[in-house]
Amino acid sequence: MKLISLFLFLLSFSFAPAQWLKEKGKGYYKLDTWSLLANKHFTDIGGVDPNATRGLFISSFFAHYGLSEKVNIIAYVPFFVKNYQFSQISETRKDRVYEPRHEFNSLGDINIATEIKIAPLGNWAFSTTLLFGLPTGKSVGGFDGSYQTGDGEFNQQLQFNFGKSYRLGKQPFYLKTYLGFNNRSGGFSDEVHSFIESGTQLKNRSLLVLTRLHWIKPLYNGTLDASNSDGAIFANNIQSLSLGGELAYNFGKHWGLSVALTRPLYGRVIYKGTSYSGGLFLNF
Amino acid sequence: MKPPFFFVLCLVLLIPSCSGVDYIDDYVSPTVRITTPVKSLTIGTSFQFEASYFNNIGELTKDVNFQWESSDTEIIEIDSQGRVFPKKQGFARIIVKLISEERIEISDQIEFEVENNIIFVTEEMTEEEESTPPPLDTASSTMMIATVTPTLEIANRILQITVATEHSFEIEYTDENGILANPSNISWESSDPNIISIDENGRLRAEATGSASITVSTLVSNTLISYSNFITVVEPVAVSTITSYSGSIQTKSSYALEGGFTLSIREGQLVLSLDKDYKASSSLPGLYVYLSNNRNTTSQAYEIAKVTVFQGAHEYILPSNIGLMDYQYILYWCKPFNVKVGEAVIYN
Repeated sequence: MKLISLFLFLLSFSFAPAQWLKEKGKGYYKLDTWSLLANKHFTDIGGVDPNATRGLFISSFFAHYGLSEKVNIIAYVPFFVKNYQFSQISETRKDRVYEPRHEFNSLGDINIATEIKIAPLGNWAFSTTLLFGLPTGKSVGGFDGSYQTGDGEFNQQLQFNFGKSYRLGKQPFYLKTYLGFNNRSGGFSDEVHSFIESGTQLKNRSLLVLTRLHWIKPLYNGTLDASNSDGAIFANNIQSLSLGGELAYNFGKHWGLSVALTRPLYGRVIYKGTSYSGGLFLNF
Repeated sequence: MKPPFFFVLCLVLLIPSCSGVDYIDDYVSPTVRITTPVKSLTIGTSFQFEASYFNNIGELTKDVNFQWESSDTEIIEIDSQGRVFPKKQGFARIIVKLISEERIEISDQIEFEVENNIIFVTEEMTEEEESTPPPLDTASSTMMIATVTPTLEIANRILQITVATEHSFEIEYTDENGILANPSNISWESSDPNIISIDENGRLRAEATGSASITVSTLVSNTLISYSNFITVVEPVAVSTITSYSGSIQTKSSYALEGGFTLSIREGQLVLSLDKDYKASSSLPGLYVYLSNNRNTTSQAYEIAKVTVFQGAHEYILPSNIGLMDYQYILYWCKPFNVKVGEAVIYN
């Protein structure tokens, strides 16, 4: 499901604020849970329609490791993905169960990426990332096929990352952004991604507060409709503008906890709901 | 401080047991519905009316006791099982009543015409007849010397009548002075009483299919004058019923969906035809079309098919056990999201 991919990107580039690449032998790791529950969705023309309450829950492992001073590797492994729908019961006759609860669990789509440092330009740091989305999830799942845990396609995203530090008064902030092109296979439309994130550290640098904005624009060059004969919801040609925020607190020198939320401000063919996540991160 | 690994693992692994319920707002007023769309009945026929009861979620409920009534028992009679017997020409209503589970009396009614189904001889036919030998049949020619010949005619002659139909003849008699009068000795006779019987007052009853002549005669000054009407008796015309409903589909969502439809009975089969102006969004995952009695849920509905045509005229052939009035709505439904996309009212 495309929703998964959307939040992979949000997760992938938000754990190393103001530090564009990891030093050689250093790493950032995170064990995370992410949950979305939605009873509305954005339609193909941007309207908002109701739907049966559906949820997506992801338990994942994220790693960002410095192979060298200029080359990092990144991996995102959603090792447990649950796609589920609430049971549906008659409000008039409470004994009538129209639909029992449905769910489907499996491994999700794994992302692996490499990030390469580019020479800085003035105050700006530059890097480029090549990301591969592996179709390790199930594109057809559940009793009617619509509870998929992956989109079933191998995608490649090339992106250019820019970052700089700045101050508001005496408070230092960081800003990082990227512009990416996601080449999708299997009849999906290619996409343009843009992302901007800014944050600052408080409480003697132990609390990180950040906010981020992510925009996805499809190029409408795919051939897929919304669903196939197996019942899978491909959610091709999705479009979204999502706003999110995160708090990360370092409880020790090498570890901390984070909580985050993200909400789509606008979209097409995507759930309209706030997602919540929380996890444990380690810095070595 | 060491990371609380146990807590985090619980968070990661146990939270996904999220569960919940969507309550579907599915209340509809209980209804009883006459499902035999009769437009007219013919005297001499009998017809079995049928009705269905749909409870407060639009679910068809069987084994209920209907009460049948006629608005005018002189025109039509109905028994406790809903079988009607047309008696007289005119308009009448059939009413069906039921006490719902909510202890409320609900009813439905249908108005229709009871047709006599007698074909009368028109003026045009009469003019044609007048060019042929006159209908006066003189048994004796001895009275032809009179200046004015007495005449006897049936004023409301008929060509055709259906079995079990009754009809009263009226006569016109002109005496020797050319004045309309009432003859004193009138007699009526059928050439075949097994087909048409007639009483002494000129009231006939069609008994069986076939042909027969009705002759009226009177004796004037020892001369018998008479007039005959040749009549064909046919089987009652079949019950006239509504055979189709038309309307338009309208979107009830942000997805494009519109177009005209016709639900009709074609050679005993119910057919849903979408007009050429039909179009639907192909962006919807799992769009299905249903027939339903509750516009808020498909739980009691008949699933016709998954939508595979998104523009232009097409049709669905439905099973023969589905009647024209068994469902009140056409629903277009996103099945994975269980949400209505559009609807059409088949009839009110």
